[in-house]
Amino acid sequence: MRRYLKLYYHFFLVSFLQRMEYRFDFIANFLRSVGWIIVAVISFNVIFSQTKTIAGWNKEEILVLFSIFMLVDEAWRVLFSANLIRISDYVRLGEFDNILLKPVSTQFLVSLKEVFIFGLPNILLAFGLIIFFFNQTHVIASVFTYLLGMVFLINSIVILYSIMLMVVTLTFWIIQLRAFWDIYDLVTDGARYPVTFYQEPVRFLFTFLLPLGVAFTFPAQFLVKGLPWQMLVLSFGVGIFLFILSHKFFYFGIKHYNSASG
Amino acid sequence: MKKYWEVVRITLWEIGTYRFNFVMWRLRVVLQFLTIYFLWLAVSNAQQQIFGYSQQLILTYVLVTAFVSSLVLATRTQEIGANINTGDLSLFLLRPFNYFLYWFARDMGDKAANIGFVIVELFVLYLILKPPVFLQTDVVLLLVTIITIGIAIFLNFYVGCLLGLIGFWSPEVWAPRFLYYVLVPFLGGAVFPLDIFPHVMQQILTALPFTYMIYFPVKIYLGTLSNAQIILGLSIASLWILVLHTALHIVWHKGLKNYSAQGR
Repeated sequence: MRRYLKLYYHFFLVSFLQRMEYRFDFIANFLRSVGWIIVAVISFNVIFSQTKTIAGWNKEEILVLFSIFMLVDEAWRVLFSANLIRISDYVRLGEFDNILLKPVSTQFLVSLKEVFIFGLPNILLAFGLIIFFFNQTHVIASVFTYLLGMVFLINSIVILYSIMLMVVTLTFWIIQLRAFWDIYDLVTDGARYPVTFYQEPVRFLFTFLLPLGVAFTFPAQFLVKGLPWQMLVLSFGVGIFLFILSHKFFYFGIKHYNSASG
Repeated sequence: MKKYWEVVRITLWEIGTYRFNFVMWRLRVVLQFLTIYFLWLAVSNAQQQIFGYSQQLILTYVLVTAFVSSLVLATRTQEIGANINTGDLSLFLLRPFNYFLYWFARDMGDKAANIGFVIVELFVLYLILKPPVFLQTDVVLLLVTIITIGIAIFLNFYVGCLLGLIGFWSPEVWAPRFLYYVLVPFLGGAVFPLDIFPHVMQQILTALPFTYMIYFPVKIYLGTLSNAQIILGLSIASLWILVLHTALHIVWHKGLKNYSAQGR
């Protein structure tokens, strides 16, 4: 375990040094998030100027959901975005052999090697937003709620990671995966609003099939409205299940890997 | 002329070749539409009139916007930046066609694929969701809508090209383009109708080209603009085409002077 932590520390350092050459990207990426926030805040203010609640959620609560979405999205980007997208290239160019030969867990290497450090300020920004909007809801929360909330968010990141890992594993068969960001957007588009906005059958789709409801709405609901403990357990269950499933699927995919040198 | 049709054909073939990616792309477009549709359904269920829009009008707005954006915003100009950075531009300059007509033809291919599928998808969704839509019957208005969509296509093309040409001066073009992906739909009325905004903001937006990409054509279709507003809008939009065309010309020549084909 310590070995992996040390290895990750090195990954982080290398990524940091490499990326710091492009200072402009830091600002550009930060502006991207700021742009999103401005658009979202204006949009929600406009929508809620005419009505107090929509499907049981008021403006402040929705903004908490939005901030949570942003945090999970940015955290995922920092940790995994630069890596998962390369798996398609490794497979296509036959570079996967090199990775398989290394004396560490392939999944660990392939998922975490590059840290998208430009996203770090965005994570802080999102975190700040969650606290800001949460205060606006005037919900009093205990320390336990905060801690459980953090664990909940880690669960969301794990769910998002597992889904994208399974998608990327498909490259072992399909070889060219240009639609990576399309799929990511597909998975996360519906997550910006509470699942109660949607009507059946889309609601069912988003709650259980593409577990956005579980990954995003539930944590927000937990913080601002309270969540029945069964849903809490279900969320973590889904997280663990998807992680194990994606892990097994990934190694199943590796077995099917035909390297370039035959 | 024939060579540009080839470009269109090749673009379409490219899109169709990677079946899995293609299916994912369409699924994503449909899901995105459903997200916005249900958002507005939920909002209009909570409130009878939203900024003067009845449920029928706002849902029609969403549908027509989906149609118009797929036609106007579909573009390949995001490839220009990489084209310049990798030095591939040199190859393109040697080829016997106009650089920008090439990209325009490529855009047409992308738009053809988009609109072809959007029509089918919207039709199927219409049958399933049965939204209360408003169908425009005034032929003149429909003609004007088509003309403004044409103008919108050009506006989007010019902005896309200009953003791509940033590649002459900066290695990373994705950041401004990302802002573009966020701002243009928002300022263009794809997220919600622009007359929701306070008057001052609306005035500013009317001066910008983005309004004419989506919001303006859709409003004409809905029949809620006066003749004076339509003429004013058309004038400003045409003026923007002139401005952007000139800007493109200037930036292109300046860029070429700077260009040293470093990628290769």
